[in-house]
Parts: sequence; C-alpha cells; structure tokens
Amino acid sequence: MERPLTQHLKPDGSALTLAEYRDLGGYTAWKTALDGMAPDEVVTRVKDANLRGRGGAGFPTGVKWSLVPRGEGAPHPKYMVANADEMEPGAFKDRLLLERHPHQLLEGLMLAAYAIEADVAYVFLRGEYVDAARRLRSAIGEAYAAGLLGEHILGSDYSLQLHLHISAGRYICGEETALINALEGKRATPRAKPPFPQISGAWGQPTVVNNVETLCNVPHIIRHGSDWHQGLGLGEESGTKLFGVSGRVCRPGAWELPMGTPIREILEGCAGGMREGYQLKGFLPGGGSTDFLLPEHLDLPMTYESIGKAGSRMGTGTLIVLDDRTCPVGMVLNLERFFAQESCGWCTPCRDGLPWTRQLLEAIESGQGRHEDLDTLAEHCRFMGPGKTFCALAPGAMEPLQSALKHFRSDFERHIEEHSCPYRSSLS
Amino acid sequence: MSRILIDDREYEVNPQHNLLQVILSLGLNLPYFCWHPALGSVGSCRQCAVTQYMDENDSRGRLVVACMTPIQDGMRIGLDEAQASAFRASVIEALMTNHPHDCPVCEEGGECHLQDMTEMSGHNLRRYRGLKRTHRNQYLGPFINHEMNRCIACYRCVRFYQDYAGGRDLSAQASHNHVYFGREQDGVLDSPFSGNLVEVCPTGVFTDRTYSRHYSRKWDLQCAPSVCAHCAVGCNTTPAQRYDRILRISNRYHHQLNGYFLCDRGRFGYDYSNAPERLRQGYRRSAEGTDIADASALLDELLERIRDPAHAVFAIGSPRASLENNFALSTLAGPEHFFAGIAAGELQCLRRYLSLAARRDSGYATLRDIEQADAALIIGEDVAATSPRLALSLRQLVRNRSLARAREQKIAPWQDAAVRNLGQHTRSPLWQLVPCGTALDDITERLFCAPVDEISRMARALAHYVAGEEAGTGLTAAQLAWIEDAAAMLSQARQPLLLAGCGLAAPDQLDALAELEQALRDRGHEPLLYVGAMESNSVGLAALAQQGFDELTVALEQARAQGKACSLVILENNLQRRLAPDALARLRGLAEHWLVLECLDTDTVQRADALIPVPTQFEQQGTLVNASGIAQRFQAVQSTECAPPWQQLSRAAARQQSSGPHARWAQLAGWHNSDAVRHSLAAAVPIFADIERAGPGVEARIHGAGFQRQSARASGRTAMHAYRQVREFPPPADHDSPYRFSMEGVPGPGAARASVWAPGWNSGQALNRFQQEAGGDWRETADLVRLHFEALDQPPASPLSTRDSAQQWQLIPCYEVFVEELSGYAPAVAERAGPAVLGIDAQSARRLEVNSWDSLELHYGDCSQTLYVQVDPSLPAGSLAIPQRPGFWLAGTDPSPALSLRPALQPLPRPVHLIASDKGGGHG
Amino acid sequence: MAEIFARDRGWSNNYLSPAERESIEREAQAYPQRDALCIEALRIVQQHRGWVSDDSVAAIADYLGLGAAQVDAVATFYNLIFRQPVGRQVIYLCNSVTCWMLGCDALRARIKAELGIDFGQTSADGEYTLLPITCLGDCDHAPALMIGDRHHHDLDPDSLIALLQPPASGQDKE
Ligand SMILES: Cc1cc2nc3c(=O)[nH]c(=O)nc-3n(C[C@H](O)[C@H](O)[C@H](O)COP(=O)(O)O)c2cc1C
Ligand code: SF4
Ligand code: FES
Repeated sequence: MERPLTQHLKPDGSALTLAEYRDLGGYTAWKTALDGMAPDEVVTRVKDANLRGRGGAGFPTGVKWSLVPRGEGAPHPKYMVANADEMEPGAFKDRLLLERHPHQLLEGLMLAAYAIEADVAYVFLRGEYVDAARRLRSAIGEAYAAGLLGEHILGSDYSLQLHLHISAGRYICGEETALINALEGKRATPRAKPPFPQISGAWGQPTVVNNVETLCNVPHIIRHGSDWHQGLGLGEESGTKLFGVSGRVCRPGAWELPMGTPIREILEGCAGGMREGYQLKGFLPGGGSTDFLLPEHLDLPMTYESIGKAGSRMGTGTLIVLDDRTCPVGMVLNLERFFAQESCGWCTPCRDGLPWTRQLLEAIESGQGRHEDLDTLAEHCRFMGPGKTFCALAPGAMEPLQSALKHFRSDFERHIEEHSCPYRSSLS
Repeated sequence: MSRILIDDREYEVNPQHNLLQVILSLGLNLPYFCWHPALGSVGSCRQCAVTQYMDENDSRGRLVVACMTPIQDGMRIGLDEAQASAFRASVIEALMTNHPHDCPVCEEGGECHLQDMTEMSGHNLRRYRGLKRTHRNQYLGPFINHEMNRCIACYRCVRFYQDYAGGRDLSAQASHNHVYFGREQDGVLDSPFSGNLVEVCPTGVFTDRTYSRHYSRKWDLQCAPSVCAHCAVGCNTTPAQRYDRILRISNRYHHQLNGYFLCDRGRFGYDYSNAPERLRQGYRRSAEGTDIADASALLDELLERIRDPAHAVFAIGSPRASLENNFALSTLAGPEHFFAGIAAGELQCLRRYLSLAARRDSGYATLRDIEQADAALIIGEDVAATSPRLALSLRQLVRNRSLARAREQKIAPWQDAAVRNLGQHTRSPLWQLVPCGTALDDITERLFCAPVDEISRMARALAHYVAGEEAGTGLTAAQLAWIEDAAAMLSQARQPLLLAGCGLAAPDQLDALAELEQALRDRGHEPLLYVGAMESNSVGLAALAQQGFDELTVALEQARAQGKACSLVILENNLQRRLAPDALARLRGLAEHWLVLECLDTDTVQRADALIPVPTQFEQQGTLVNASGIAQRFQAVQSTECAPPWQQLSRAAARQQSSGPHARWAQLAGWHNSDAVRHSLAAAVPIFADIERAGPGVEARIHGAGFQRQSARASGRTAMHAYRQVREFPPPADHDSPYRFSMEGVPGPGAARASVWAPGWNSGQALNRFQQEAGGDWRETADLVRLHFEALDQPPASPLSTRDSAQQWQLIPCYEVFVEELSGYAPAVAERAGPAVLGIDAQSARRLEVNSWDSLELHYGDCSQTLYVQVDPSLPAGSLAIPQRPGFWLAGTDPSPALSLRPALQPLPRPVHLIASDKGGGHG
Repeated sequence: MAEIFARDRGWSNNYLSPAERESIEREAQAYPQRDALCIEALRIVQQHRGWVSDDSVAAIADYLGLGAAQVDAVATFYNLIFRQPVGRQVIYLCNSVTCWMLGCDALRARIKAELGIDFGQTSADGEYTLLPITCLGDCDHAPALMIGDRHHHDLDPDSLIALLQPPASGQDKE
C-alpha cells in the first residue's frame, strides 16, 4: 500500500530536513514544473488526477485553480495560500503534515502558486501550532537559501515569495474568505461569494486557498502523474487520505489510507476498536461539524459520495467516536458551545441563533428542559441550515445536532423526563 | 427593464438593482436591516430572505437573501412563501433574544425600524428563556447617546461611519454575540457626520443626545420642510418642534443634494433657536441703558428718516436671511442704498461666482453630480470645513475608480463589501492645491500646499498649460512638475470636478478657475464646477446687492460731506465677523444711528441704537440660494407672534398715509404674503425669474386640502396648554403658507412633505414608499429651480495681500466645521468647537521655540487672544493658520493687519497627551 | 510651499520599543499594505509585553496610521490577543469535544483546586492564567493542554500537576 504523504515521516517525530527530503526525491516536481511544464499543464495534471480538496468541502482542486485568470493580461499580484488553520474539533491531520513534513507542503504550495501564476504565497498557520511554526520557518529559510524560492527560481522566469502568517486565533479563520480578511489584518468575518477569491481575493487580487493536505498531494501528482494518483484510491475517488480516530478507542491516531477505505477498517483495524468496556454508539465521520453516523454505517467506504449518501460528510476525515457511556446531549452541547463561541458575529442566525441553541441544550442537559425545546431545536436546525447563513459555520454546527436529535432522541427525552442527565450516574 | 414574477404576479423592474431594492421599489413589504440605499448590500442580517425558484416547474425553491440577489430576466420569486416567511420570523426572533423590552423609555420608540420590521415579520411571542447579554455604554460626546443593549448587530453604523464617511474612531469590536459597536474608549466621536448614526441605526443604540433631553414621540412632533441654515450647501432638513422649542433636525432626502445624510453642524445647530441669546423684545439704547420699544414705532421712525432729505439711510443685507427679507429691505431703502453685508474679498469672489455661472448652461454641480465625477481638483478652499456635507460627497467621488474596476469584474455597485474588497486603496484622483492640509488629506492623492497668492498663480499656470501655452515663468521645478501632472490627471478623467470657493477671499483663484475651465472645455472636456460660498444665502444676496462695504463707506462719506445725518439699518448681520475692528469702528463713526433687525444678541446688536427682534428661519417662510445656484424654499416649523422682516417692513410702509417720494413703498405696502414678495422680486430682478417655483405657494392645495405640520396621530392638543388654561386653544393660523399648525390636511407634496410616514413604516425608512424607486428621487419631483445667471461687469480683483507687513507672516484663514455663527449658539456645537488653535509652520515653530499645544498670545487691533499652537508640517514656511473666529484676523476683511505674536504670559493648561506610559501590569 | 506626502505628515511616538518596531518592519515585507500589519503588530507587542494595553492599541494604531478603534476592532476579535493582563504563564486547556469526553473537566477542576483559578482567572501570585482553547489538534492524545507555547497531552489530573512546577530553564521539547 502506497502512502506517499506519510511514508517518510521520521519515527522520532522530528521534521524532514531539506537534505533528507531531497534525498527522497523532494523538489524534483518543482524542478520539473519550472523546467518544462507550463502552468496550464500543472493545472491539467491535478485536474486529471481528480484531486479533491481535503479541507472539508471536497471541491476539485484543479477546477478551483482553473478559475483563476491566467496568462497575458491577468491581474497581478496573485496570491496562493495554504490553509493551515486546522481548528475543527477532532481534526489533527494537518498538524502531522505540518510538523513532520514541512517541505512537502512547501513544494505543494509552490507548485500550486506556479499553476495559478501567483506572485506571493502564504502559509496561514493557526497560532497554537508553535512547533509547526518553528519548523516551517526553518524550512522556508532552507528553501530560500537553496534558491527554491525568490527571484528567477532555478534560472526560470518564475519568481515567488513565500511567507508564514501566524494567526491570532478563531476557528472562523479557517473559512477561506474569512482567512483572507485575517491575512489582510482585518476582522475575520467571511466575505460574500461571488466574487470568488479566484477573481477577487486577498487585497482584491486573484487568490486561491487550499488545505494543507490537499497541497501535500500535489508534488506526488506532478512526479508520478494523474493516473498514478487516481489508482491510489479504492473506488471512484482518487488518492490517499489521512484518516484519524479519537475518543474511547484502543489506539487513537491518524493514518494515511486509500480513499474509499471502509470505516470499519479504520475504526477497528487501525484504531483497534473500542476500549474495553465501551460500546460504539455513533461517530462523527469528519470532525465536529459533520452528522453522526451509527454502527450500522461501519461498512461504508470513506468517500465523499458514500458518506454523503448516508447523511453525513467526510469533512476532515477524522472520526470522533461516541461511546455508550458518554452522554450524547452533553457531547452535542460541547460542540454547540464551541460553535456559538466561534461564530464570527456577522450574520444573525449564527450569531444569535447558536447561543440560543446552546442555552436550550444547557437547559436540557441540566434537567431544566421542556418537551417543546426539542421542537425548537429542530427548528434551529432548519433556521441555521445550509443556504440560510452567510457562511458554512452555522450549517456545520447544525449537523451534529440534527443527527443527534434523530438518532439519539430518546436520550434527549430522558433528560427532560428525568430532569437530570441519565449518564451522570454511570460515570465512574 | 426586466420582467420578474413575484408571488406569481409579473412586474417590470430595474435590472441594475438587487432584488430587495426592487421589491421595495414596487411598494411591496420585505423586512431588512443591514441594507441601506446609500450603503448598499452586505447580506449580514439575513432578514430579507425570499424564495427563489429555478423555473416554473420548481415548487420547492431555495432561500436567497434578496439584497444580495441580482435581477435576472424572468426570475420567479416567492415573497409570501411559507418557508421564507417562517425564516424571516425566525431571524427577528433571534435578534430579539437580546433586545431589551425598553421601548416605552426608548427615544426610538414609535419611529423604530426594528419595531416596524418585527411587526412586518409577525414575530410576537418570546420563547427564549436564557439571559440577555448586556453591554456597557460609552460617552460619545455632546451629539450622540449610546445604548448598546439595544443593538441588533446590523453593522450599519460602522459601515456608514468608517466606510462611507471615512471615520476612524467607531468600530465593530469583539466577536460572536458579544459584538460591540463603539469607540476604543469613551470619548467624543470625531467624525463631523456622526449625527447620521441616529438615522442609520435601525433601533435605539445611537440616539440624538440633544433631542433626548426633551424627546417627544415622532407622532407628537410638529414638522415642516426646511433648508439648513449653517452653510451654503443647502441641505434639506426636517426640523421638529414641540412646546415652542425646536427639538431636533432630521435629514430630509434630496436626491441631488444631501441624499440621506447631513453634517453635524447642520443637524445639531438648531439649538440657536432655543438659546438664551434669542431676542424677543425691541428696544432703544441710550446712554442710560435700553428702553423697551415697539418694533412698529422703530420702523416708523426709520421710514421717517428715509423720507427726510437731511438724512441718508443705508441698509445692509444678510447672507443668512431669505431673499424675501433682503429684497424687502432693498425695496424699502432703495437698491442704491442697499449693500451686501459681505466682506470685500468674499463679495468679489461671489461676483465671480455669478459671472462664471453665466457662461455655463449647466450651472454649478450638485452634490450628486460631484459623486459621479471621477477626478477632482480643489483649488484653495477647505471644503471639509466650510461646506462639511460636500466633503462626504467627495469621499464618494474617490470611490468611482474602484466602482469602475468592479464593473469590469461584473460586480454590481450595490455589492458593497465586494466592491470595497476589490478596490481597497484604489481611489479616483482627488488633488488639493491649498494653503495647508485639510480633513480630506486621507483620500487625497496629491496635496500641494502653497501660500494663497501662489495658489492663484499655479492655477492660472495650469490653465495655460492645459490650453497648450507656456505655463509661465518664475515657477519652481516642483510647481512645474505638479502642473504637468495635474494637467494629465484632469485630461485623463471622464468628468473632472473643479472646486474652489470664497473662503480665502481670493478672487484671483476664481479667475484662474474660470480660465482652467475654459481651457478644459476648449480641449473637449466637460468639467463640473463647484464654487463654495460661505452662508446659506450668500449667493442670493450677492445676486441682489451690487455693492459692498467699500461702496458703503464711500456713500457714507459722500452723504456726510453733503451735511446729511447718516444711519444704518442692518438686517441679521454680525458685522464683527466681516470687518476688521478698526473698519468696524470707522463704520460706527460714520453712521450715527444703527437700527438692527436680528434674532440673536450679537456684537452688532450690542453696538446698535435700536433693535427689532425677528424670527429665526424656523418661524417663517422664505427662499435661499445655495452654492449650486439652486433656490429652495423653507417653511416655518413653529408659529410666532413676531412677523418676519419683510412683513414688518411692508406693514410699516402700509402705515404711511402718503406714499411719499418713494413709489417702491406702494409695492412694499401691497405685499400681503411672501408669494407677493417673490412675485415682485422675480419681476424686478431677472436672475430670480423662477424663484416662485422654489416651493409650494401660499394657495397650494392637494385635492383641495392644505398641508399638515403635525401627524394624524398627534396627541394631546387639548392637554398641551392645560397648565395655563384648560380651554382648548385653536391652532395658530399661518396666512403665509399652505401648511397648517395642526394635523388637518395632507402631508404636503413630494419632498416638501412635513415628514414621512406610511402604514407599517413609522421610521424614517418610510421614505422608500415615496421614492420612484428605493434610493431614487421623490415620486413627485419638482424641478430644481436654478438662478438665471447673467454676466456682470467685473471689477478687477483688488490684490489682497495677506502678508503681514511687520512680521512678514503669511496669514492663512483656517475654517472649522464647528465654528459657524448660528450653530455657535447651540451648546452642543459650541462644545465641539473646542479652543482656538493657531497653526504654525515647522520652521517658524523652531525659530520661536514653540511646540504643539504650547500657548501664544496673538495681538490684533484691540484684541488679544491666548491660544494653543499646533505645528502643522503642511504649512508653507513663515505662515500662520488663523482660526476664523470673531476677534481674530479675518480673511478678506483687512489686507494688511497689524498682528503680532508673543509668548503667553499665562499659558493654557496642556491637554492630556494621547499616549501615556504602559500603565498595566504585564511583566518585564 | 511643497507637495506633501501622507507619510511626512504622520507623527510617530516612542512608545514601541526598537525591538518591537524592528519585528514589525520585518513582517512588513510580507504584506503589500501597511494596515495588514495590524495582527502582526498586536502579536509582536504581546510577545514583548505579555498583553495588549489600551496604550499599546493606541501606539500600534499610530504606528500603522490607523485609528485606535480600528486596531481594537481587530485586537478584540482574536482570542490569542489579550486585552487584559495575564499571568506569566498561560494555561490553554483544550475543552473541545474529544478532550471533553476524555476528561478535560477533571483537569479544570484539579487546576481550580490546586491554583484557585477557573477559566479567565489569574492566580494570586500572577504566575498562571487559565484559558479554554479550541481543539489543539491533539485529539489522539486527549486530554491535552498548552502551557505557554508548549503542548502537553495524554494528561490526567496528577500528571497535569507535575507540569505546574516552575519550569526548569533551558529545556526544549525538540
Ligand atoms: C467555519 C469553517 C472553518 C473551516 N476551517 C478550515 C480549516 O481549518 N482548514 C481548512 O483547510 N479548511 C477549512 N475550511 C474550509 C475552507 O473554507 C476551504 O474550503 C478550504 O480551505 C479549501 O481548501 P481545499 O479546497 O483544499 O479543501 C473551513 C470552512 C468553514 C466554513
Ligand atoms: S454563519 Fe456564523 S461564522 Fe458564518 S458569517 Fe454567519 S456569523 Fe459568521
Ligand atoms: S438586508 Fe438583506 S441580509 Fe440584511
């Protein structure tokens, strides 16, 4: 099984240096591109590889790039941004790639920049990833020193500046248009689309934002070709994906597996199944803003499509496991508290709706709930559903709630009827 | 035009607009908060959601927010559709979770957009059981009250204050449902447009502090259409009164002028009308003091003097009094004895204003025209201080380049955030050739500071250069470079704006402006022109009075040489603001008797021998001419016993048994209402031929009904005077206006309605029910009434040197937004004026060893003033920027003032500095 | 008499230290516009002073040619910018979903018992401030927290307390 993104990670946890990366063929894709590939060819190859965004929405990466005006007469400067803001509850995949393989990301970012003919690239890194910051900074320094960045790179016509932006916090910064505002030094409220960032992004200039993992795939696609990448996946969908599991499983962790790996294999094979004495009650397949799935879904392959069909989203691909001794109401409350706090405050449903959702869940969880509260919560799920709010934060927040109301309704009802949390007593 | 289907009915709509604007324009109801016709769309409140269907077969549709949805031909919309209605009710319900139930004590109650929208969307039951979030309020200065708990976070305030008006000290802070709209700390809001927050905020967060002290419900206010008295821009206003006090001013929409916004001077200056300095009683002054005197007796004596061949009576008009009042005085005294009460330099500028306009068919630009221009060159004038509202329009002008870029990218102009993100620091060129920096510097592409006479020279050289001639000799390299670049900038523009004014009292500059305009025209350009004037009727008075103080002095001297006794009758004019102290003293000596008609106790009133009180603009009807050359009518807001000057004069003439030597008096005596005054004026002075149309006549009716000044809901008419008399008083009659001091009648035609209200729309946003399309002109528009300018003989400009001979100081008049005559009597505005500050150039500051906020003593004539110094690096070497306050050297009054500076014996206390040391804890 | 450029008109102050200014200027190269430095400047000043005071906000605004309210708008948006003084060490306790399941409440309770501080509070000796933080990306080793800029994971109340000893200087995680 090929694991192009992670197979060379060093077991001691340290980052691959430039020399180590080069020994493994690092930056040959960069050289190949600069030596003889037109930007369009890079775009086409990534498009043909059917690489889909790993940031959560799964948008085809090559298509995203192709929407940027290129060639003669295109506006400059253009910006290419790596979204390293990973803050989704339960997501810890980008951190791995950032801390242990910074050059792979940089090469991917540089290739993406080349593909859209960007003049400046940024890594937008969340502030808490201090180790990643240190390692990226030194990797960027190495790349500049080796002439891989800067003016007329490797003797070509292409010049690129690459900078590290360290964020000052807030989950919403991960949303690509909010990220652009943060990059500009402003409040990170999202921007309306259209205009899409590819047309008017950072400082009003064409901009592309891609997830770290997405970008890490790019050097391998350039080196090994589109077909090779397609072949890595197990079904329709191509490439490998970092999957992770957290919660009360035997071996929580993250693994690079083919796209389309069955959930059971991840949960039971890699993570070793549930801890002794715990049963699987449900799981969020791709971070805090995805719908709960149930044990009956364990044999689904992890693809955008099959997870979508089952009523959830692949999201970040990092599973959060709910065991039978954890209160689902408490878990949803924890998530909604998070989303209410991380609302940027721009649009009404999210800003004022989520605190209300949180308040209702608090009431229910503490035994103060009423039966009609469940109707109100269901109403909230529609009120803050897709297409209602300015960005996808609130709809994401509603996903665990609406599915919990569906799958774990009796738990909610017991809280209301018993005026207390039935799980509290079972806590040891 | 596009055709769209709304709830299965077909409509023709404007495809340039967004769906919300279109729906409102059709007169349909759709609630909204964050959208504003002048601020565009950002889609944050989500209140305006509707259902959009893909095609005729789509039965589910999807929710879209109307304000962010462009019009597509044939689109199908569900407005009353259940899912969309339910969503809108949920939005209100969510907004209301934190909104306090303080409507009964909230100043906004009864004209609250939030109340209207809540009713419109049908939410009426509170389900939220949690705590409301609470905020601490801030002190924001004398104009604005802050009650953050009422905030629904529509973001309009910051979008207006920062994005639209360029203010920097109000922002959105914090995040999630803690968002807070305020300053970084308590303090006076810096922007001179802060008052618009009151109208921009859809609820009661930002309220009018001056109104709060005496607030009434909107339906209990008595209103009338008026025109701002505080500068020459001529913004339309709606003053409101109750219990014999003017309580506030609101914006009255004018599509070509102020649009939705006023400046703070105009909004809060009204309090002069309630000031203790208001004069209510006529008097004679003698050595012993003052004796109450009847106005009619004083006027009879005046007429007596005019008839007496041993007497010469000269009249001084007023640039802040109506045409009617000025014309009446001129008719009484005879045009040859009527003098504009305007300083010589300024009057010369105004005469150039008149002849320059005569050469153009298009007249002067309106603010709307200015907002469409794509380049601007400001010559000399500090418009941000002399015509504050104009500065707001210039801020819109500089956006045109980014709007053009947006158009290229197919981004609609109403996509406010998108256009701003695209544009960022892209601006249309605004260039200033001025004596020192102004409040527009932050949007100025190039700022060239030069002494007053150099400005004229450079502007003229620029005209030559544009005309293809040599720029001229004696220019520095920097000047030449500027001239070349300015010429290029102007010729690249689609429609450049040339802007100058009367503030520097430098007619040369207007001559240069005329040349530049001509040169650009000869090259095929169509520049817009704006020449700022100083007061609400400066232009009207200049067109009426041919002579100024210089001619007056000559005439007085001649009369005295003929052995006549001389006297002056002065209409609403504080000569202290127009004449140097010695010139004023001389005038006092030449005319032994002064009769003053005035509403406020000014310095001139103090010097007068007799006073006749007159009503303020809020208590009479009249016509003013603004700097765009447009004549506009204002109506009385409250009744008064005191007749307007024209009527007092007319009655005095009528009292004369024999018509005497003056046939004019027969005409004067025949004026039974102000329509008659205007009729005579239009006949007598061709420039005013159209002014009768500047507002509804006394006999105007709609379907036979007169116009109401009070709302149909006005309450308490019977209780109002109960503390005096339980008997119900009949409302006062107004024989000079179609408007009544009562709720009887209809609201008045188009823009001239007393106030705006429509069913379900109690707030000012009811306006969209009266516009052709939301954000457009009034449905019943009246044509702008422009003056018919005609060419005048042009006396050459007498060179006005501003060099102080003794010290060689270059004196630069420095205007301030909050220093203006009438508004100076409004306590809130006076508070904002702050201490007088003398600007000094960096070189001189070093020579005199002074720093900013040190104090100096300025001696001029008999006056001495201690004032703060501000070192201004934009000032040319050897110059002083002198605040144009009474008692200081005043531009255009005294060409060579004896002025001296010395260190202050008693320095003023230094203001606390902005940045102290880091007080907080932290760690080293 | 001269052409005036905006940059000549601003007045600068000596509030920001040379080191702070130097760091800000270094970052300036990464951005096409000066106002984009707002977040960087806030972070840098906080690095030097521990938090961002009102005076710091005013000084940064002045330095970047912005209004203080505009800088505060940004400063108050981001949770890693402190507008109040904090202790010498900030404990960021992850309270997101996985850490919640695996016992962050117990850690919080233990900190409260041990140091007497809850979320948002600073210990009496000024040493520690406890703050909640969103998912630290340590979910596979939950519960986790950060002290200063160091991550710690797989914690239980006892191992947590061991961390709260004053740090021995010079040791690095790498
Ligand atoms: C509230 C919110 C938070 C997000 N956070 C992240 C994030 O931390 N990292 C990320 O890569 N994408 C995040 N996204 C998705 C981005 O908006 C964007 O889709 C993604 O960076 C695009 O990259 P991709 O096309 O490579 O997936 C977030 C989206 C939303 C709505
Ligand atoms: S959905 Fe929430 S996070 Fe997104 S714009 Fe609205 S308020 Fe901001
Ligand atoms: S008015 Fe349309 S979203 Fe606010």
